Amino acid sequence: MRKVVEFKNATLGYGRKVIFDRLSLDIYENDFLGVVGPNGSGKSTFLRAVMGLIKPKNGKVDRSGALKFGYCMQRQFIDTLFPFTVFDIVMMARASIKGAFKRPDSEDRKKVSGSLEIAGISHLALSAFRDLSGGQKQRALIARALSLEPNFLVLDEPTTDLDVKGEREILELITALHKNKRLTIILVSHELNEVVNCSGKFLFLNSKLPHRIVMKDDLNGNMLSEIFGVKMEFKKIDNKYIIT
Amino acid sequence: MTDIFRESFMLTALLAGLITGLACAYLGVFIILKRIVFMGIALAEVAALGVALGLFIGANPFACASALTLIGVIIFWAAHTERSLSRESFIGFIYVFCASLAVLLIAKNPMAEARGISLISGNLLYTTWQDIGVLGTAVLLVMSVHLAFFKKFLFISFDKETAFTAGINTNALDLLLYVTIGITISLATKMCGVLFVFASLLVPAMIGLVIARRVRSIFIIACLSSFFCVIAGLILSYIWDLPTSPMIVVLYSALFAMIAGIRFITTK
Repeated sequence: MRKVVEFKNATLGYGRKVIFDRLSLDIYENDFLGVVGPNGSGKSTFLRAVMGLIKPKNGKVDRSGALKFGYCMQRQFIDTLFPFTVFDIVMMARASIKGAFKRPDSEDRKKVSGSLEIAGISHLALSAFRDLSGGQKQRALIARALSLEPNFLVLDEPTTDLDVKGEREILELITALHKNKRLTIILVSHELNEVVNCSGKFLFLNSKLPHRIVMKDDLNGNMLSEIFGVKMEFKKIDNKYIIT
Repeated sequence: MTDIFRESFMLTALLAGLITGLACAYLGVFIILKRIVFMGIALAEVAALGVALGLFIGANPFACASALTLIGVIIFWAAHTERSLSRESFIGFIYVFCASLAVLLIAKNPMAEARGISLISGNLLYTTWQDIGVLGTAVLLVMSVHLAFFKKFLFISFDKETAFTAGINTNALDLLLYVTIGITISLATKMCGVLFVFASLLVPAMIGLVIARRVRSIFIIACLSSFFCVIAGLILSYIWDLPTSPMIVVLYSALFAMIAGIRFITTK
């Protein structure tokens, strides 16, 4: 497997505030990395560093030149004042690869339609984004990321505030993208149960403890109890992992 | 009614009002989308200080306004990209500093009063053809930049982080967008005053937001509102012998209140 992102003793933070000290982590092609931690533990900072939105204060973050990111930011932060349609929002991403004075063409419209279809929201193309349910908004953001034909999908809290059905459907969609399109994926969540069945590798973050990188096969109750500071049990029932 | 605009000073006022109104109405949509409304009034105040400074030292007011506004734009833009600084505090500081200094400079400059320049309320009737030439050329340049990068400006204004990850040079384009806003404000402020410029950035876009169901329509409605209010405002100010810029701003506000009221009643 080819290494696509490499953190080499990277110190991350904003201004004078250090959020990660000496983070070393390799992300390989077709990895599915689950990033789990409570609010304020630095999950979004880590994502920003992966994508180059922030530079490390010390150390290095190397990225493969062939990386094409598809980013789904937290949908709660998306503007809902303006009546952007789902189509507008997905097409916006295509604008990024157009030169000056160039307008979207039939190829762009085809890519947008294809992405909407994969995300299962073709029928909502002309609906206003702000009028959609949480799950539909998330699908629209996934469609926007897919319209750029990425090889690396980054999802920041995609299931927050969704009901059980919505959460499951979004996770199924992400898992399908990982398997069928062989995308490298980073999925951020504050809920371990959400990601434990999708991801093969985990980055656990807790502002009070050093970060931990753990492979799925190495997960156990004692380790999780130590990381999260509360007694936790790790069970496998019907081929599904459950953490209580 | 059209006889009013046969008067040379009314024709120049109409042209200056329309160029400023339409350009600001269009740019105002970006200002609201980017949530930088108060940067608009702060930049208008910076431009006003530039005009006052130009008159005080005997330099070209347009050039001084543009130079100071560009500095303001860079400060706001830099504050925006640095997380440890609060952009709002910069805006507040720059606004009060520039407003106070402009008042002091005008108070010590008899030229300013003699030329009928009121930096707050503006006076469109003093517009010259030379002013229109400068403003028109600058607005044409600004619109060419927007024609080239409209979709990208929309993307970075709506969701800058995702735009960056999609490969857009967001900091450079953001600065370019700020510069286009700054240039328009700086040149319009000398003729139209802070009040009219800020109102033109804000209210037509608000009217567009209340009515429109598509983003493209917001731009169109904002420009149409501005077009209508500028013409009506000039006619009414001529008939009733009232200052032009405040008249236009009152019409903007009345139109917004009427439309928002109708919208409130019909959606209840």
